[in-house]
Amino acid sequence: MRIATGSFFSSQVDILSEQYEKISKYNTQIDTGYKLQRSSEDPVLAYRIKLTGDYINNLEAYTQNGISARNRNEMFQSASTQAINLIDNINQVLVSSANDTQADSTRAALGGQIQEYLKNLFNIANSKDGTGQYIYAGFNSDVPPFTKNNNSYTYNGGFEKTSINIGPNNQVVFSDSGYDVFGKILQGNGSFVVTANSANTGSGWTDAGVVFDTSAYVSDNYTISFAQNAAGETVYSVTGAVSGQVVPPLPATIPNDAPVVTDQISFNGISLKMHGTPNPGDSLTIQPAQYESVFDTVQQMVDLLGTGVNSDPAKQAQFHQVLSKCFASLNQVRDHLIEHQSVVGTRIQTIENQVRENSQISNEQTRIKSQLESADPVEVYTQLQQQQIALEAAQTSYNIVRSLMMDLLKI
Amino acid sequence: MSNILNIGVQSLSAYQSALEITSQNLGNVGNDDYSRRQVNFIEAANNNGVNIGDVRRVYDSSTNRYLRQTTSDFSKSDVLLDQLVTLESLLDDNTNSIGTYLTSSLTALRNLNANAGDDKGRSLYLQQLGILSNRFQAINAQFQLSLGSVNESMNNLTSTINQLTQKISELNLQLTQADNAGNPSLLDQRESVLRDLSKYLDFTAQEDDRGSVNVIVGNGTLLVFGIQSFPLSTVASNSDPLITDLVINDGSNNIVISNAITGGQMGGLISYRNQSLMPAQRALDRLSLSVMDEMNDQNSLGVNLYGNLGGNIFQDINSTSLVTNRAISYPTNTGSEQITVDITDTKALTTSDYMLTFDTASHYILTRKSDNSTVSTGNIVAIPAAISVDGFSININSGTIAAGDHYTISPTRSAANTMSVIMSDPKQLALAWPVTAVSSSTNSGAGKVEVTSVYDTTNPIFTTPGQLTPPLLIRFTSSSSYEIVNATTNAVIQTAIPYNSSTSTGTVVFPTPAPTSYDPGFTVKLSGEIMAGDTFALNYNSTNTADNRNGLAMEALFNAANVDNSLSFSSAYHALTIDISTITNRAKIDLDSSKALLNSAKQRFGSISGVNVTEEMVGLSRYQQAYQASAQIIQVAKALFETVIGIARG
Repeated sequence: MRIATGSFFSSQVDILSEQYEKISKYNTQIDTGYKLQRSSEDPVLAYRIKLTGDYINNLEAYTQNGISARNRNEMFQSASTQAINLIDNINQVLVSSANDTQADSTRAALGGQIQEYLKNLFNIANSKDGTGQYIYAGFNSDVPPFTKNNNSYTYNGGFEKTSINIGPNNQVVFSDSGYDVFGKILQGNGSFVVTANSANTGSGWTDAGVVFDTSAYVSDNYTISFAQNAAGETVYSVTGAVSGQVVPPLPATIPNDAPVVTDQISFNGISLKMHGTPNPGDSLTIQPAQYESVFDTVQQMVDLLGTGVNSDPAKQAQFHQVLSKCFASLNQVRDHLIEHQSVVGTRIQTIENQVRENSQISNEQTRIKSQLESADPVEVYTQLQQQQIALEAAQTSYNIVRSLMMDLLKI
Repeated sequence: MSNILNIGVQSLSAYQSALEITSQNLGNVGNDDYSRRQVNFIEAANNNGVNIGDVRRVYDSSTNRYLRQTTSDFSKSDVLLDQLVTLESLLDDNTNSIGTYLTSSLTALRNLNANAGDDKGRSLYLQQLGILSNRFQAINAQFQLSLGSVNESMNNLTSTINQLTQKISELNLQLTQADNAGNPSLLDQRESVLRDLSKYLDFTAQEDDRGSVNVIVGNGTLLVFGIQSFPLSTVASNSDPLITDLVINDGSNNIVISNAITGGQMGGLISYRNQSLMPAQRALDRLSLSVMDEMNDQNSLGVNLYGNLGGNIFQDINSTSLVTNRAISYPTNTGSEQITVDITDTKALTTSDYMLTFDTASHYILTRKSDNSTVSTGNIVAIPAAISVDGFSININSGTIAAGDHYTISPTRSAANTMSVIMSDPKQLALAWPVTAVSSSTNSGAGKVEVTSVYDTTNPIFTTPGQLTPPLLIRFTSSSSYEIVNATTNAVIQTAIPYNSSTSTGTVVFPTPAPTSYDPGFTVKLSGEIMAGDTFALNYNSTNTADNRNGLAMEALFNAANVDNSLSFSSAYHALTIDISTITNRAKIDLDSSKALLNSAKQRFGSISGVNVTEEMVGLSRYQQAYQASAQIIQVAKALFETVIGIARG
């Protein structure tokens, strides 16, 4: 084929500039360390890199929340541990106050101790985090969740918890409702509360009782009345506000058909252990347990220990009746707080797992992203060298052709 | 004998001409447009000597046509890639892109949710959204600049094109004059101007029998007809005043030929504008609409720190100016109809513009421009009327329609340009939900209650600010049945709704079962063992510092399929940039291949019409020898004469 001199030179120039372009491309790859300088060089790869980057960014946006959630729940954990310790301390004080040989003044001093523990407990429930937010206030994190007024306690916080995201599809509780933790605990043994009639004259009192048969248990307001039968024995009868006469069962009559008081009173799945001797005319009431705050429960103990019994058997009986309820309530509180503690423990475990998982996935994705986007130096150097050789060859051939042309003109 | 002398003289002049032509060829070796001349010798009829038969301009019209076509393809790809590379570098920036600011907004929101009452965290989030809006505006401004420069370049190109077409018509005139007919130099000149013209647009050149070249674009629109040229000009498009149309005036009418130009620099600019810039612009606008709308909507479902229902974070996407701008009336319209366009569902929006045509005063046709499909057609029975498609609604508010009226409906128009955060008080962020659900403290069951979603705060229950009208109570009449009660009046709204505690997912309370189907605009879930007499109160949530339930819903927006019902905000942005990158990638390949084709066309042209120095050098020495030989003939003839004269003397 006939080749015009002009196009011959221009095609040589094209070949050379193409070679230079490739060399400059490899040079940039070495300079920046990236395979692609622009997405248009490989849009499919570039899109994958972008999506991977998004994924990593999204995971990293959880980092701060992971830290916040862990800190917050560690606060919950230490708060609940401290609270349980305080409950144990209170329990010890109560145990030592139970002894009838204790003087009223000693009891009052013990009550003072419990008062201090109560303050601590109250402060724990009103804990704030580093940013000044109350941690047990549910939605209302800017007001103290519990307030005290004349020895009665009110919950002002929110009843709902807030959660935050710590990973894809993983929310953990961030602001607990203090009402759930400290404010809503069933009194007594959790089912019912036994109270002595304040006019009782005997020395009889019961323990807090148990529900020994849940299927037979009927929740009702019962009155246990003591009377004297024809034989001069002290007998008891039980009447429910709804159930009517339970002991002795109808049509038996009171007092002569009623059972004689022993150290055990049982009916409708309820079992009470009797201490001391009730007088005829004395009575006890059994009411379904109500929710009560920890503070109200403990405040009762303070009040109880502050009230003198004056070595009077009837007052001592009253004291023991309330004290038995207090022990039972305290036990409920303890169980409740331990449950909270274990929930928080599980939460911390969940958070740690999620944080670890986030960082593992993030590291793995970062590695993949780096593989996708980084230029392989060895490969690039090799290609660069090959390109240099090709360029040199092209230059040489250009020179040869040019000198031939010059020779021709010399003819 | 005189014949010998004649032969000598004749061939001497023949070879002298041949040497001249060869020199001319050699002289033009650097001239790309030059077609080499070839000398043909013929035997002279009078004396059997040699004569110049003709000096042929060596060319092949199909090769020339091919060269023009490849030139125009190459110029197009060159301009296109040039524009695209700039656009790509604007969008494809991993450190300063909309994607970056979406991520930092999400991070700020996520951190805020751990401390929802914190003013600093709130203003930080609003600031991030502000930066995000600024980025939208900045990219939009670059798009506008690019569009402006395309319009300006088109305008500049038309004057260049007009000069060239005028030159062609002038050369046509010269070549039709008898003296100049077939003049190789003029033909070369005209060919050169044609090739120049092919850099700017694609056209067909047809030579008529008088030797004129007619230049035709598209489907037969004449730019040059014989000795007449028709100038191009640019005007604002009827369908969109922001866009420049290329028109040609045929004496009475402007004929729009923008769509007929597919090659040359002009074709490159138009293709860049129509296939890349405008779609990217609309995709950006759509994304900004989605971001604004979703975030505004979510905020309106919550309550702010003042205890009031949330307002807009960004400006209203259906503001008066935006809804008016979305319907572009053709300047040719004669009706008085007032049309606005409301966005009804940003998830369903496309990135296309639409053409609304009233073929009669009561019948319309709505065409989607991206795929040219008719998306809606029908009668306008009465005004006001509304046409709803693809996530927007065209409202014909008032006036009288005239047959033949046209509108460009551009639902995404001006969105990114006007994107801004209008919320200035961080306490206005509505991170809480307006409803609380609380179990009564006297409940004997272990039932749990939870608000699971809020989806309509325009519900009548929210009419009075700061309270539910009415507050509600869920009251259990047995462990398996409950009723909904107006907590203020104790009036039963619906009774005997069955409850099953054994379902692990719980029971969703609202809307209540038919036939009452009471729906307060939010959902509540009950779970666990619930006893007769237990109640759950649903109240307005006015104290809510740490309540982040709506904030969590806002967080979810970032990863939800909010754009085109399939893409998250950031993947929609990536899709936008990758679309441009893919087009750029293709343009680069197009440029490489069109360059290769142009080179081969040049080679082909060169092999036919180009000057080869070696060849000419050989010719030069050949003609030189022939010239010397002819001189020798004259010498011989002269010697013969002298011999004869000597004899005569002798």
